Amino acid sequence: MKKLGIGIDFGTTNSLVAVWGDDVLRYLDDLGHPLKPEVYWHKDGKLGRRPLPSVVWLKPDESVVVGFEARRSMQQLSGTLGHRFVRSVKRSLTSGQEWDHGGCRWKPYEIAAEVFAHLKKDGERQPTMHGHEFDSCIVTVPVGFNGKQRREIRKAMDRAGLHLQGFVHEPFAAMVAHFYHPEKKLSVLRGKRVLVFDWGGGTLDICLVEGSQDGSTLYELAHNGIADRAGDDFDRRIMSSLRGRFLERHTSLTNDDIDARCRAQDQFWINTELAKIELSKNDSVQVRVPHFLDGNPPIDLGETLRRPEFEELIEQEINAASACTLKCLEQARLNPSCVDHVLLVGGTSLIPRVRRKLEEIFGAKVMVTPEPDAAIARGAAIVAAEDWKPVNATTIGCEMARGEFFTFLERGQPLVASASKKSVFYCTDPRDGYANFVFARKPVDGENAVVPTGDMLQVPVATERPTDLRELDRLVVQSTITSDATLLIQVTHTGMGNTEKLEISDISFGLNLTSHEEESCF
Amino acid sequence: MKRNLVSNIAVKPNIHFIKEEIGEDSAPDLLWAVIPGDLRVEFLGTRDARILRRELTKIQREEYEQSRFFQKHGQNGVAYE
Repeated sequence: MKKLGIGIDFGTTNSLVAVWGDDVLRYLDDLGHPLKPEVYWHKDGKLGRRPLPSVVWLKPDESVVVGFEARRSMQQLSGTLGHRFVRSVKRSLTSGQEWDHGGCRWKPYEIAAEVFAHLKKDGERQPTMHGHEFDSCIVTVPVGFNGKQRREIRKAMDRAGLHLQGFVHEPFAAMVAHFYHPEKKLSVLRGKRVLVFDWGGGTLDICLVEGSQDGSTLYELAHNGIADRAGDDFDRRIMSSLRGRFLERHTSLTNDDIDARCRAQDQFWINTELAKIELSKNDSVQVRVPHFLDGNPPIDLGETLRRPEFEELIEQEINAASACTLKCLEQARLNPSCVDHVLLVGGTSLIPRVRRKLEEIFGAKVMVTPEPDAAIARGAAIVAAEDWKPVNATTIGCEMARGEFFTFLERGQPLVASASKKSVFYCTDPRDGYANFVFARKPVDGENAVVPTGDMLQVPVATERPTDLRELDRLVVQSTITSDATLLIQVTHTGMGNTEKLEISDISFGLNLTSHEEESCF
Repeated sequence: MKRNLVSNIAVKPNIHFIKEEIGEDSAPDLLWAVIPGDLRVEFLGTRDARILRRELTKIQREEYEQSRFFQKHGQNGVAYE
């Protein structure tokens, strides 16, 4: 390993940067620190060592503020004329949503670019950079991100002046961080199956990964997730419960009074989140918000939150997460006993009830990664420094008229941008006016049946009533791996000259654990 | 009444890949075996059972028989024989 690797965990709620490489090791040695990747925690007077909140504040004077200050001001000024706050932009990357501000229409990738630019600026100030340029890095993405969402991330990074060295799936990155050894690398995963359960502020991502027997590759076997039930939603639920209790205590007040007189919503939110985190270690915690309501005298909020109450509030979500885990195993046609390790990542997975629920399924195989908030960024930095490249994990192709399978993308094939393949097909039955390309995956376990991907391409053909084989339509298919790690299929009718396109973006990924020089897209 | 509905429709692939690169004007004879049975019969221009037995593959013969159920009156559909 020679170069410095930089990894960015661009999170729905929080974001973080980590670096890993020879220079970092030397620097840490000089100070007597342990040999581990350096994570750039973002400092804030009130919160201490924390990841950077992915909140962007568009101010009336057209300046932009990112992070803690934006988050602090959000509940106070949100809805105030001239102020615009955007949080969880990662969820809206391809929503088409835009934000009007200062005479401009901000697109989601432009908002995301502000977060990246802030991380870059913060990173460049870190002494561990040793004068290295912070210009190229690996970014982590959720398993369920499609090609369009990856493209928006790339655009955001371009705008922030960062070169995208590649993407890596968040659970993969966390797994790398947890099992990596500077000398043995990931040899401990040879022939092993790991289920990564990554439950953070914004999403739940579950990914089942298998290490090849020769130790050269990690393959994703299945993935599943829940997009809208995670830590942020739990904060809101706790806040709602605490508000209810506050009103029970102050019977003369109503919800409207709280909305009108509360000047400490931001503090309420922050303290609620801190209390939730604290509940992972303690059985009960006090949530205090001085001057919660304006008045003479002002009214404070002080409520005790107990772990059983909190766990009851989110019991339904924990059951949903458990069902999601079992579904992931079902997709891979495996049972819990086939899994060697279960790795918990993300703040929400630290909730004791979550761990107990998974232990009910997997027993003693469940483990929590140290510093679960930082594992994803750290893993991305290691992948960048080791120059490990992504590969395709499941063979993708199309079914043909007589049931044979034609392969466009082999399992284990490097996902190298612009890698292209040309094939010639004939339409065997043009009488409905179309040549039908039905795409499917080929299971690894040797089963005959292929699994449709749900993608289909219908190409108009010329002859509806052929009278001779010479009239059957000839189609040239160009399949290309794009820089956003999607498979682009372009079909050209050689007679008519028309071209139809389809982009297959749901590709299962693996990681080749040998260094490569080729420019990969993922 | 609400039920969990399962899709029961599908588009049948109708393409075939030939390994050997064939010129655009050449007749791809390899396609004889992969076109549907009823289309093959149209190409042959006869319904002579002896010829069909000789020329069609087993699958194509089955496809041809199946297609006859859907032919209209006067078009030699099985239902009208």
